[in-house]
Amino acid sequence: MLAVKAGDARAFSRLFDKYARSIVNFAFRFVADRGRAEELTQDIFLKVYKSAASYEPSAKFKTYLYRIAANHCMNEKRRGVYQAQHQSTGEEGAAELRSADNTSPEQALHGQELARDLAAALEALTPRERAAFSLCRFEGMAYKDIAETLETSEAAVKSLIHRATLNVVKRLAESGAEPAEPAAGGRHGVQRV
Amino acid sequence: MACSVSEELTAYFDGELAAPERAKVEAHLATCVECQGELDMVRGLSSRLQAMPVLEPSAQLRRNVMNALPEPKPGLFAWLRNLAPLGGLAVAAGVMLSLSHLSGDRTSTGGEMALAENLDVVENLPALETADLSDEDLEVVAQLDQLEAKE
Repeated sequence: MLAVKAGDARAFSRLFDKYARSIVNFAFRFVADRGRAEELTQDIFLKVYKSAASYEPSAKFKTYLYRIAANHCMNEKRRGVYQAQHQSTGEEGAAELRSADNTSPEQALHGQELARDLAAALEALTPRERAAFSLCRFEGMAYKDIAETLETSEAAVKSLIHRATLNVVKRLAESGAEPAEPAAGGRHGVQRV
Repeated sequence: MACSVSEELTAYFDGELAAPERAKVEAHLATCVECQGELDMVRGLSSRLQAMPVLEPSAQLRRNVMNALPEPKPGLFAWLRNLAPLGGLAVAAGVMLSLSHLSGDRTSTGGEMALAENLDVVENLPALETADLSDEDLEVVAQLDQLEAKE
């Protein structure tokens, strides 16, 4: 990031290649639409590039990147412009997702259904709950880093994640999706996508 | 869900509790079936999220981002290159002035008129960036003093 701050466009392209996948999926969990998720991702990376001059090495780059991403996506949800136009429930968006290469057709179909149900469950969360949930469950970030990203306290993050997690569990149960085998425990059991 | 440790279960699962709090939750879990069930649900959710398919960013996204990057600040070479069209106009103005002198029209202000007519162009920098300076222009510039000498 320091090279980007010095105006090195090639360093920026390396950062893009490293984080684009995570950011586009993070954005997708807010809008459940591939096209819009990519537009948000483009906005986010351009903001990172333009604000590189103000980047301080004391902050972790990942925290810095996700702070910009979370603010951008939360603002998108708060504005409500997108929902008013699309009213997406994740049905169409889920079809855009890709399973791992070694996944069977049945598993791929199950994954699509899960993605659709998760998108619907996420719709019930506030933008901050959604951001905290995604950063914890998909990005594997520690509460301390999430607090720094969302510019709040660890206690507030703990509460956001607890509420969001129980809400999503409840919604998925209501959707009738088959429960999976319990994970071993902890954030380490969650695959980072 | 009325148990005192209920709100700690997610943080417990995430490994975010300090040792004393963790011990307290574990002691409670040993006796509370309801909290054991809630913890299992959180574990189950994590397993399901592992099976979530992902979105692959398109090649078009990368092109869009890279093409949208602001141009870097121009270096000395780019600065000089941008001045070239200005040089072309100066040459044109110089030629007009010289021709005016050659024609013996001392009262005419043809060169000044040419400058005045081009003043709006000089002030319009974006238009200048697209102007070309031909080899002939450059040759005229090199021979301006000879034209003056012939006068």
